Amino acid sequence: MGDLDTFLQGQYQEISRGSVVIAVLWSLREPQYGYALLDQLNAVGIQVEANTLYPLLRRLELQGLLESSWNTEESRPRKYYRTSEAGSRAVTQLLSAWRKVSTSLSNLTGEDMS
Amino acid sequence: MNHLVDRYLVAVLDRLPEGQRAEVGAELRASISDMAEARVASGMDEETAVREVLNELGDPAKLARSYDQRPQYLIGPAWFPQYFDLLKVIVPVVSLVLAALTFALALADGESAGRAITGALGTAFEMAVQTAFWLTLTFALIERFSASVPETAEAWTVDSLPQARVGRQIGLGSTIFEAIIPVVLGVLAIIQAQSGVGAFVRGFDDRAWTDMPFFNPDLPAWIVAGFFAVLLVSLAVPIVRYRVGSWTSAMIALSVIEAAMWIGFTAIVAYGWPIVNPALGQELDPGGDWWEKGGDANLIILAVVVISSGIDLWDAWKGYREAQTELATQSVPT
Repeated sequence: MGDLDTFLQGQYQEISRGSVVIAVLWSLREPQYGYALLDQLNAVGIQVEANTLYPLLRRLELQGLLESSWNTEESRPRKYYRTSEAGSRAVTQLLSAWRKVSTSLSNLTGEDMS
Repeated sequence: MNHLVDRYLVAVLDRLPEGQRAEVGAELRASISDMAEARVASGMDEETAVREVLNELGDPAKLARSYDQRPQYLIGPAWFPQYFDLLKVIVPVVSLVLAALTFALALADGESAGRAITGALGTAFEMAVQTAFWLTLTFALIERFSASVPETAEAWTVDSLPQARVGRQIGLGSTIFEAIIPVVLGVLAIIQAQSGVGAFVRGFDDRAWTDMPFFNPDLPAWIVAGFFAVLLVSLAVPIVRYRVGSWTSAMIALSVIEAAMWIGFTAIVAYGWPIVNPALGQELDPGGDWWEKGGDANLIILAVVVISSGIDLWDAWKGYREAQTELATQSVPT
């Protein structure tokens, strides 16, 4: 892979990283476990790998943006996550920041980017 | 097939802090089962499903790194500038000074010049490695155990820019200071030669007031002449430097020559004669031998010369770098 490809790959990851955090915090207003969330995100076209999502959930929990509880009533014990109070506030701010960036780029390119 | 999952979990958890293992392990096991189940439901046999899931999760070491919040580097960007600035200064200074010292001590011990140089190179290398290691270790510890990121006292504004140097790089003050040292030494030597009064030892023990030369009065005439030659050069160098006004590469060369001359001359004298007046030595410490050729006094004098020469060279180098930077800000790329 050339330098340019590596660079573009990195830029693409930078863009998607921010969107994944927003998508996770938004989706988890309804409690969900890791694999189901992965499925749900992929279904709406948000591309995220299992080995990115699971550690991300744990980090967001340590940051206090997610809360978790173990559900032992189903076939196997699963850890359910939900967006905390702080997470809800954060996702509102992040979303508006995201929209601002998107609007600015639209203004620049003259295209509707949403 | 479950033992594959177990092996995978061990490989991940092994790399995590103890406190996180149970939680991450249970969750990861459930997630792997969920992922495998979904594949089995769409018609895949279980063994293939588990293999595929583990392949998708990928290298356990990488996965563990994404879970682990501890720094994966020795020294991060918050501390790196301070670390590197210090490294650039301390490593060369420590290794050069100690190498020079080793060289001087070996000569004074009667070693051949070749062996003295080999010893000095060895010391330089060892000291560079040692200093770099301990400095790196210190910063790696700071990186891990200091809660706060280093703060500059206040936010940067234009006013924080260092003042531009007005006028010449080499000022009159430092020139006079540097020229005074050889003059004082020369005057002392002349007084000593004229009247035997180089330094005074007063009322030692219960003996009467005595005065006697500090330097050995029995040094051969060519050494004394050599000493005055060295002093003359040391007097001329700052004057030439002042006239040139800035640190050019020629001025660096001059500093190197001056340092080599001082160290060489002192080493030769220290190698062959007591530098301190033997009579003075006897007076201060009857029966002592620190003032003798090869004794402590000679070594200390040599060390002082080596260290002050080292400091001079360091100043010269700093001045040269500064001058080069200034040239660069005013030149046009070709």
